[in-house]
Amino acid sequence: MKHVGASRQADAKGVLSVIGLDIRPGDEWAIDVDGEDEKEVSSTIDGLVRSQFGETEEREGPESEIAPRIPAALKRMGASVLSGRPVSGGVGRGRAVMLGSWNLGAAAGGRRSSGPGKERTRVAGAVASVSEELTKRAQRSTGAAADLLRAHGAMIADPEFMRAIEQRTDGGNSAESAVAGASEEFASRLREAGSILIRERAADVMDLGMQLLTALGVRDFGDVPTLMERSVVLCEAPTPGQIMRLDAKMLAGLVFGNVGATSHAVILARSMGIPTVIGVEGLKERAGAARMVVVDSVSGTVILDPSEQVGRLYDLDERALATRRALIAPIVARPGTSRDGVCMEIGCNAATAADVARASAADGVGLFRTEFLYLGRDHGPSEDELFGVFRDAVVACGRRPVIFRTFDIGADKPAPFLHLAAEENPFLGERGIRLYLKHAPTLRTQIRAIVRAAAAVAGSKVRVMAPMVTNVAEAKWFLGQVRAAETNLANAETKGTPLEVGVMLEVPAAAASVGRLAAHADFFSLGTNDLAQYWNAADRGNAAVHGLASEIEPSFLAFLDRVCSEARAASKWIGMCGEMASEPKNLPLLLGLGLNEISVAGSVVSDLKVRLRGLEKRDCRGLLERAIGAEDAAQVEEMLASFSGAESGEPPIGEHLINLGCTARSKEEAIREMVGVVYGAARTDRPRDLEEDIWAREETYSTGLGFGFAVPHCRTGSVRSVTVAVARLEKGIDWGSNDGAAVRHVILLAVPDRLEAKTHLRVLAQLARRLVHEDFRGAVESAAGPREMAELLKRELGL
Amino acid sequence: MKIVAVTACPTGIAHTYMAAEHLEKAAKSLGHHIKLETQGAMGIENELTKADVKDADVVIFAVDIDVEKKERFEGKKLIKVGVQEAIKNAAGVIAKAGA
Repeated sequence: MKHVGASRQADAKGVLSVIGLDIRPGDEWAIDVDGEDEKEVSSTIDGLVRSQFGETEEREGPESEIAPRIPAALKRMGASVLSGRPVSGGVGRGRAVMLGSWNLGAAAGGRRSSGPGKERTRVAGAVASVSEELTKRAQRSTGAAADLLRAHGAMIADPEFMRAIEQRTDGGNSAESAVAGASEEFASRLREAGSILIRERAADVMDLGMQLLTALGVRDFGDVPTLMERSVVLCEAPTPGQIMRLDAKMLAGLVFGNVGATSHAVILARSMGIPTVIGVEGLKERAGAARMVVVDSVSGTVILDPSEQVGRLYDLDERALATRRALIAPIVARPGTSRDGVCMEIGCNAATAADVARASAADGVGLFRTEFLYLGRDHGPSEDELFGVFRDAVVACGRRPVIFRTFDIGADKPAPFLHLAAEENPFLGERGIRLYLKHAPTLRTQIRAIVRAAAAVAGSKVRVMAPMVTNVAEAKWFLGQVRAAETNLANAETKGTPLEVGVMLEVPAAAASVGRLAAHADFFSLGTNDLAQYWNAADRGNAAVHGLASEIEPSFLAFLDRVCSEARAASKWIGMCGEMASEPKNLPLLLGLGLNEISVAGSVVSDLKVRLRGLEKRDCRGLLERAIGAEDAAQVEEMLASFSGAESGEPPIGEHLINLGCTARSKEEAIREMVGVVYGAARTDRPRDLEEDIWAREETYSTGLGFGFAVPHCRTGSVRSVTVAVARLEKGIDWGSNDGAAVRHVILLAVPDRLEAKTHLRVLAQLARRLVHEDFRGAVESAAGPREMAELLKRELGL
Repeated sequence: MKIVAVTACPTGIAHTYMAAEHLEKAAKSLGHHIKLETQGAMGIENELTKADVKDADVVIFAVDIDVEKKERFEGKKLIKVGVQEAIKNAAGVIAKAGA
């Protein structure tokens, strides 16, 4: 493989070497293929490139791009704070423990070579042993740890790495120092790369070196300390091996130096759920003397030897989190339901059993993609291989339903074994079900595997659907294929009930023929990604026309409405698995459509369930009808943005936003606690950002208006609708008010910044006016409970 | 006494309205008639008309910034105070206006 611009080349069979080429976006690269199998290899590589190496479109969740900053509250309290990037959420507190970086050279020691031949043999033995160990551990692990172990397995097989070690043993070095030297050489090459993704792989190489040295008998690497109590471990340049060796039960938090978010140590920490902050420079100098540490992986701060005051702030956080969990847990544990009791299941899209396992809040799997089992391969997968994958997925689903979609491939995707002819217009060509006639055996194999998997797991609820169906003939044929497979397999192994067979509605002709298709399908699922593109005749991936492919185009919404009505009239289940469903702002429209289910990215299932609980079908139906009558998608966008407040289940003020027994002793605590109440009530997902927005206003000019009242307020992107929280303080707090009086009542006002400024100001103006009057103040001071307070403010402030 | 007043505070808009409330309370309790215009982040509210100004005996500005459309008040008896004073001692300000 060659990096054309930089005139560098590497053995393309070596993972480390390829990484070391440091090929970045925009760089030209070339690959020379030579050998008996060069034709097959070339075509496989060609396919991989065209399919962008099989990377899926779905993002796994919001990317954390928060710039390091110290929260105002901590600054004001004079806490000793280090700033970094949060990478895993959560807060941890514990004894500070410094972890040193591994020095392979020192660990290798001064042992003399017993001769190149002997040392070579020792190296070979160590490599074999480590390889085997990695494979075994990878098989026993799941998720990030498994990926990591497999990646290390690939790296250790790199022929250039081997050559680098052998060069040294041939030159008279001991196996130990040859390994240490080669590892250091590769690591430093990687550290010089331009891309941070590649620089981070240096830690992996160091880790491999350590594993090889261990296999050679080296024992002393310096400390991976035994944690005696809940600890926060700080390390400038951690390797994943070090992290894995720490006692997870005692690990309260991790702080790393300048490593990147994709370094394996970080991926590991995240998957272990340990609050981690990275990017903190000079850890030894700055934190070496600390005894206790708080790791705040929400705001990305590390607090050294926190004071009792600071401790109390984090106690408040814990309480808010507990409140929120208690609020959300029952919602998430049950199927998606609206406030008025209408059920709309929220499932997840998946491609592996691991995906399913991760989405424990999902009501089912509305789309299990199977393409990855076919792409980039020279032979189709065997029935047994497929059976294994599908069975694992069904097991991971438990009692929840799963819909397998048979392979959805076209000329634009690399499936060499299918020998697909190149097409001028693959999106209007032979793809999805259209291919199956020519590749019936491949389809049969897959269907058999699905049928067997369903039968193999007791209590399974498996369904299967076909992609890109256009007409009744296709639906009939597909149904026939499934029934035939069930008949052929009918024996002890598959004594189950016949599978439900469905049709994906992606082609407008099919979507417009639900009535006709209903006789040949048990259910439907709307593939809105493609359906909207065909509807608007615009390619989402084409920047020039991207804006035309909108799924909230009024005519498209009207079409969806019609399709859903037809499905209902035919008494058929209808779901949606397109990306449109994963967008929280579209949720009211989807409830209005009356879908039975939406299947979304695993990471948004919980959030959508909570939001759904705040919506009423009637209001949503009204919104949908208004949207259908809108001029264009832009107008619908506005309607969605202003559909909030009581309509979306979030009235400005409510009992759960009122705390009449607040024990805060300072402004910092009061604001933290009130933001915590807002967070606990699930009215904000970003409590730290909200808190910063409030402080930004507070620090300009005290919001203490006199008479013992304070009105901290802000316009913020961290709430979805106007939110008013109230606290009555047990002890008066100095708020810096003009009249010097201690504050006993705090009324916090947060207004979404997408609403015009006037909303914010109107409420504030009204509040300010009312506060001048003794009778109002008296009424607030004597409100007996949260309900009375809510009613009072609703009336007085016109909320 | 017929009073017209304008309140305007550049920082917290709360103070603009508090000053207006205080002046209104004080004026009414002293038996005067008062019309209040606020100039704040929401723009001009309750704008005083030519007729309002013509009828008035005195104009009070309780402001920390320049008043917009000042021309309306040319030739009238004017009392100017800061917003804080109107909040802390509205009665005193009304008395000043009457003197």
